[in-house]
Amino acid sequence: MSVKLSTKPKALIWLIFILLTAGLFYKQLSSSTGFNIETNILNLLPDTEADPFAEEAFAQFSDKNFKQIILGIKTNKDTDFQPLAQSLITQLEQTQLIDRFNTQITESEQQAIAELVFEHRFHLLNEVDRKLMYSAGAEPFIDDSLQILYSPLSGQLLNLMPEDPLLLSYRYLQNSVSQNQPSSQAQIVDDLMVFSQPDHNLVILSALLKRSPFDTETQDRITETTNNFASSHPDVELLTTGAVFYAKYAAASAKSEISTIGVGSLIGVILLLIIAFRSVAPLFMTLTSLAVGIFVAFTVVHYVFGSIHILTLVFGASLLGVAVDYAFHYFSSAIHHSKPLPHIFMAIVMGLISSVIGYTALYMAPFPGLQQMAVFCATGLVGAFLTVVLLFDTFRYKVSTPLAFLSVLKKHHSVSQKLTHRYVVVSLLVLPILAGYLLLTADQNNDNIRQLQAAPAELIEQEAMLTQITAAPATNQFFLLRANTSEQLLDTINQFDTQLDQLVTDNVISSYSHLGHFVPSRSQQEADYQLIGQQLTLSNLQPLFDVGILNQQTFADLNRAYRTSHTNYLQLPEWLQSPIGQRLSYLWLGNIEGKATSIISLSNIKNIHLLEQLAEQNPNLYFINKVDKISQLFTSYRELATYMLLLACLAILILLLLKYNLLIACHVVLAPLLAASVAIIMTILVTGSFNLFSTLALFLVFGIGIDYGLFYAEAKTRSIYIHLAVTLSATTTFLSFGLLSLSETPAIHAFGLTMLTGILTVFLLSPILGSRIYHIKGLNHA
Amino acid sequence: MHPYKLILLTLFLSFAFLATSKASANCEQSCSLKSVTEQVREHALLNQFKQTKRIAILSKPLVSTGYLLVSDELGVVWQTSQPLKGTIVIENDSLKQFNKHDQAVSAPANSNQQASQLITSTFLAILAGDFEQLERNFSAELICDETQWQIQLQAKHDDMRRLLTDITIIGNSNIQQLIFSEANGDTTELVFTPFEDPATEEALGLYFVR
Repeated sequence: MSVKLSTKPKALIWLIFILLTAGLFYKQLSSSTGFNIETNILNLLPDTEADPFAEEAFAQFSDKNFKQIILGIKTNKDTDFQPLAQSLITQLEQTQLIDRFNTQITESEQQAIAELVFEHRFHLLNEVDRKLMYSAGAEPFIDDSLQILYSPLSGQLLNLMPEDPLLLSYRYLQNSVSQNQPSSQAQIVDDLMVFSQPDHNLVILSALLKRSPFDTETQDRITETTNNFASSHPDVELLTTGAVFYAKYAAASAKSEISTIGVGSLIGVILLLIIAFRSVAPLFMTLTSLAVGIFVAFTVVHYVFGSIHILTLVFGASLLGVAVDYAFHYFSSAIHHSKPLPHIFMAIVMGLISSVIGYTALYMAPFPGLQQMAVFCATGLVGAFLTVVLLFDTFRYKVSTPLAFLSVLKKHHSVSQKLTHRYVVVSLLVLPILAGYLLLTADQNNDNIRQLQAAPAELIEQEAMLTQITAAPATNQFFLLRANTSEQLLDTINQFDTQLDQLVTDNVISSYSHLGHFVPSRSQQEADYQLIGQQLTLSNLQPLFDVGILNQQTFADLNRAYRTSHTNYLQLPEWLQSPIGQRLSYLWLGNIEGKATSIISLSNIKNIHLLEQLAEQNPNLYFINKVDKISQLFTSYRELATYMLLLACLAILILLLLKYNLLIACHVVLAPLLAASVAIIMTILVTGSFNLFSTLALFLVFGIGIDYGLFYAEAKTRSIYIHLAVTLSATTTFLSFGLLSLSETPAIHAFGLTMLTGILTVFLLSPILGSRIYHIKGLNHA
Repeated sequence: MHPYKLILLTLFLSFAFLATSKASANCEQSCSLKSVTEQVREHALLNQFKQTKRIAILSKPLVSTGYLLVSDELGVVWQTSQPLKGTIVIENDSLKQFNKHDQAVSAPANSNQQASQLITSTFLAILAGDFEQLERNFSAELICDETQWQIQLQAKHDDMRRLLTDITIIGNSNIQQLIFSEANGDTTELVFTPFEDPATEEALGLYFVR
């Protein structure tokens, strides 16, 4: 674009630009999905698995797991928990957001399970019974049946005996009970699962949500229900866990931060502008440039990515601090130029280009979250820049700066000038060396997914307690097993049991679960069918003839039932349809990339290393460890981002060399380089480490630092107004990022802290280096 | 939460409801459930029993004999000795079962949790002499003469009636006879005789510590 165009056509171009953006905005607004604000932090992350298969498997598993909630009602021993639990169940059901309660099972569902096992009684044997039958034949089974028959408590089992004289269906069900009891403390009292502790009772409810935990309505209604319950029963402690509670908390804190940070820096900008220019016109124009920047950024990001993440918006709120640079420089210049644009045009073009170079480097990281932020910041800056260049000249401004304000700046500037000595500048070069050393030696273990989400200690504590007591399967670590067909899968899945049992014995995990526990392989079922058939002989069953349970007729019926059910294997789809299968469907992932895939879930993991070892020994077994994978990923992106920054730095230097001599170019780059060094040193001293998010902050420190250097490099004369622009810009940036460091989300906090120290350093250095630049350019003192 | 565990737990019988209410200690000898409870509590120790089950689908009755040891502090040991040895041990909140080789076997249960719970709690309340507890599910009628008392229990509600329609308990210082009638016409008759044999008593008592 040209600076020479007269103001009206330029304003027209600006208007067309805004209308185009608005059109894009409206197109998305009116689309079927509307605006999509994403709050799932996993969607910010790139795929962690090299193998897309493992990635898909994790996505499926976590999708089901995320919908799970567990609630614990902790009551005194003498409190009647039944009505309490019932009222909570009713309230949750009324939200119509609960798919089902896993802890509650209706009588008809119990019936369905019993019927399923009975239907396949000639094909199902538990391991203990199988061994017993191989070694001792039918006798111990007949004895047990007789004992039950004579027991005063035989109940309805008696009626089962003619059709199942060895009580195989009953035994199969019974064995699963003892194998799968979470702990001996658990009891079922009136359909409720109760853990009886010495000083209290804990009622556990587990439910599956209908929709994603990142659905805003689900978040609001579910937490509202639990909060209401907790506040209306102050004598009862309600423990909650599940992705929905974390997501709600994180979304709420992110939202409040957007408003505090946004509003905070807005107020700062307004006050500064009114004081510095003694006019409201610059204020309105600056706000317009900001609004356009954010509007453009939001629209483009949403268009490119199909949604915008709430964290992008948080970072975007801080864009305020950068985008105002152009407006400030314009109005500082307007104090003594009636047409300021030509005087600053080159400086802000160079500033924009160098910032965009930085963000392009950031965009190259294969990390959706970073890409969103890069696009947001780059397009936002372009929007703000175009507004300054095209719209600002439309009006004439009468601006002046209060003398008191200027004299403070002048004092600061003259103090800075005293430090403008070559040796001071050279001695500062020790900072990057120190920063590099600290970077290499600092704690490297701070790249954790928890950094991305504000999670109160209370929630983490409740989760630990609930998963421990209920032995809930771990959501981020599990084994994955795949085979060509589901049949092959069931054939192989049991082969790890010996090793897994050993891990349970060694207390590496408290329990594990897989499909093989529920659906034996075809060959196993066939072998069991043959084994059972051998036992159902007249002589074996004689004792039951003696007591009259069996007679010629019932025996013939039994044999016919056995023969006709030969191929009636228990099959996976049938089991998945059953009430148990529905509740455990997460164990089965179906076909992924043409392979049958299933999960071995693990509870209360104590030693991840041993689990990884097991997977290494077995080529078909994958150990998925999402938390560690993400941490590794963060580490590699932190390293990648650092290299990208150095690369960007070099690219900017080359760009500058096209226009300035080597010495000036070096001085322009030096300020952000030193500021980054100080930021690194301070952040490591305060937090003990330097993580990915601090590294990202360096990109902004660089962008802003370069801007300041360019303002000086482009100056035609020595002028205090450049220092005014730098001061205003630094102060607003300071305000917005100062607030970011207050964020509860650790990632944003780290980001803010690095920005704070980085920008402060840039601000202090820029008059020193600016004077050096003047000196090199041979500009005289004003 | 591991749903399967929950499901099977619901299938699993809970025997946790055997808490016996303590009867008042200084009650007069009279014809009341309280006093009968008191008497049974004081005297019950080792009994021999003969059980006759008359079951509709079986042409002849199932007859078995064995021993019953009731201890106020420890619980109940029910041992069938003929025709097949088998032992059930009921303690405050647990039920254990042993086969003829005295190996532990899993407790009897069936798919209808509520039904099983009603039957066991009823049965155990009777053995423990806790007649007051029975009044939750049954309306009781007590007839006393000089040597004996007889309690007629009639199921109060449908859940119970589907399983047991009525129970007759006859006794003096002990429970002497017990008859369950089920809705389908099956009956179980138990006849108790006090039995003094320290060796048997000791042998049965050992089951409490297994």
